[in-house]
Amino acid sequence: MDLDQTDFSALYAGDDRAWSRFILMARPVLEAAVHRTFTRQGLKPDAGLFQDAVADTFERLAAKDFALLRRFDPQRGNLRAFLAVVAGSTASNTLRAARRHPSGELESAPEVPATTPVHRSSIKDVVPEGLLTDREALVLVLAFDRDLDGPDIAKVLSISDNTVRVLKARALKKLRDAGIQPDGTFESADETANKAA
Amino acid sequence: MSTIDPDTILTLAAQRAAGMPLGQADQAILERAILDDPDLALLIVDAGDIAAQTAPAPSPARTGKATLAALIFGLLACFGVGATAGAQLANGLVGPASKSSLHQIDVRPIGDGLSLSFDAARKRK
Repeated sequence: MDLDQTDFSALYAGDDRAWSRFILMARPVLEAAVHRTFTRQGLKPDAGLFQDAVADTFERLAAKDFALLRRFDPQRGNLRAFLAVVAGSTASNTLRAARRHPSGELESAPEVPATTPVHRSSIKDVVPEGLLTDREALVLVLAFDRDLDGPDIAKVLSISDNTVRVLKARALKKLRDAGIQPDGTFESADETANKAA
Repeated sequence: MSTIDPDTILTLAAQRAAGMPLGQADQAILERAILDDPDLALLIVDAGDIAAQTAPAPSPARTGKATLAALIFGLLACFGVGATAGAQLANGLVGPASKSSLHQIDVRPIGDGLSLSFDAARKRK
């Protein structure tokens, strides 16, 4: 039996065996997603919170009569990818909650490395309001703040690679015209304004 | 910050990662949410990797069956070639003698067989 053959109608009807099968088949996907989230945040995958995050994900999927899982359409989507997003998000929430109420488990974890250099501003902070369209700003944020490449940005926004290139080029031109260097050493809008004055 | 319910945003991100099409309004909500929290984009990208990583490998049973079938075909081919070669070899060894063989077996249609047995019965009389 495979995860792709999940009997959703039996699951939603409250069939215990269907739920047990689903847990058995979905667990590797959830564990991989939680592992990825923990690793991204510099935590050891065997931290005590790991199993909590997996259990929280199952709970979230089943909450309110499977309201979240019901939004998945087996005819049109990849269940593994759907579950991975839910598990990754739940793992982030679990970690946030644990940091708010620290226990021994998190204290023993290594310090979380910063994902971006502290001195580097986010593009959102340095681009003057209204200079870029939302989509142009989004493409730059994903490319420079999150280091995603063109195909990944295209996937996230469900647009073509070519459209990503066009949006990025247009946004960078606007920045250059406004005197902002698009090379990762963004000056704040105030500094740009001061220089212009 | 976005005022959209976090569960709605999570659902849209999960649907996007799963490859499900989103309407224009949902697309706009998701893009706004990603602009507010770009880590959502990482979740979507990671989900694709994880889906590929955890997808089932080709079934060992099917692989075994294919291997067995190939083996059987191979054996049959070898046997066929071997039998043909063997027959040719035997023919080569005994061929010249068989041309002048005194013992020839004729295979006749069944009608002849009947007439032969009829002749034999007549001779016995």
